[in-house]
Amino acid sequence: MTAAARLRPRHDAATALWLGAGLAAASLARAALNGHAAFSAFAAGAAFGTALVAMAVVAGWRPARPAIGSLLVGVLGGLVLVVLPRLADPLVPALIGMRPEPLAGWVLVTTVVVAGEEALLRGALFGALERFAGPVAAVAVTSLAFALMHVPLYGWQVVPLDLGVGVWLAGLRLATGGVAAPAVAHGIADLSTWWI
Amino acid sequence: MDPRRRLAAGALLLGLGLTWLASLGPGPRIAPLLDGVFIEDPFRWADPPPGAPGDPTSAQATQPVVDGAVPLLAVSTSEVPPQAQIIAQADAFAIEAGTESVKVSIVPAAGSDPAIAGNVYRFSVTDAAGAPLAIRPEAVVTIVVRASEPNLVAQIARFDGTEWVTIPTQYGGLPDLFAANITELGDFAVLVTGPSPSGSVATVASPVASAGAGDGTSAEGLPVWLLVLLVLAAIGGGLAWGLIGNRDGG
Repeated sequence: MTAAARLRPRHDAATALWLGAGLAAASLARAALNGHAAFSAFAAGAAFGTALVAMAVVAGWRPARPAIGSLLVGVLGGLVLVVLPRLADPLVPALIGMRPEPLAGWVLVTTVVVAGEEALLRGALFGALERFAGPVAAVAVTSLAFALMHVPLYGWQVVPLDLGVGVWLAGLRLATGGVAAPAVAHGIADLSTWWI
Repeated sequence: MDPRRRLAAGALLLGLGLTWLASLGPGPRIAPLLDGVFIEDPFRWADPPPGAPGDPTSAQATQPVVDGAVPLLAVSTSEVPPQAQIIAQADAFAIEAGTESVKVSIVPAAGSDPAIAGNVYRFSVTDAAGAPLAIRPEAVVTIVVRASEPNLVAQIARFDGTEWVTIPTQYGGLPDLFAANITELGDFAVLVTGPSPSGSVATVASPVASAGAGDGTSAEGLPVWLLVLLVLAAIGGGLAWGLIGNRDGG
């Protein structure tokens, strides 16, 4: 075994740890900076997404050209996320305050946030955990992180739903082998909240 | 089917099931909220001062008893963020044999004490007949209550029938959220216990308050600059680690 091969698991474990710490700090900073105004919410969201992308890239994650099949799987995955809760309860209300104007700014910043979360969680962190501890640990830890990172902004009530969604997105990552499918699914689910 | 595809199928099925269960679960229904950008609701007063929003929401949920115990529950009012939440670990409430479900309720009321920052919330858990349930000793039951303005020096307090008694309190995730573990249900409120950075709590915060934490303090009581520094340190540290890793790896 080469020195590099011996160092690899330790490197992946350390990478997963600092990505987790960075994600926690970024989530808290975003919650603290979000404020009550559209500008601060947009600025905090954009900075959060950008920081997550930066961490993922620093950790070695690189975007790859997605396959058409992965994009289609992502679209289907996103539609499931939009439809499923409404099948369970057709009267489910959207949360007040989820639609800061203008629409174009909201779409842009939401997309940056989605890109950041997917690059870090289903990209860099998933990859490091999968190499270090296997795919089951990667699914479990990234899903739990996905659920907990939403608590500062939305409260504990979203943990069950976001845990389920996190596992679903991790399943898309495993099924397609890349970040494109969960990113597209996540984006569709988030952007749909403007209209429904 | 190779193991990886089998695992992917399992994760998709599990994710689907958990999402479905969460959509059916107790508590206020919410949209499939994953992330995005949102603006915090202004604080809603039970007895609003002039110009301030009123109509705070209450929350009711029926929780089925499973295997003789109340499962883990989380119930919240439906503002963003919720103005009152209760999170109880499994088997936190003492129930009689044969109890099939319990009712959880959070109801806002106006606070009469001038030191109260916001509303009083009555947290109750009853059996189907309406008999109040007690929290078991050793059980962990946490409530989160929102204050009418951020960054107060304050604690959650419980009304014991004659006066408000403060309980050990932590920040609850945002600069205006406070959390505490409780041993009894009843009436709770955020009680100002020290000087407020923005003056008296009797002064109503503007419905559109200034952005961020007014005094540069985060939800967890850490300065925002320190959190930003931590994020930058994570990026810088990772960069350095990657360079070291590449060198070691040849």
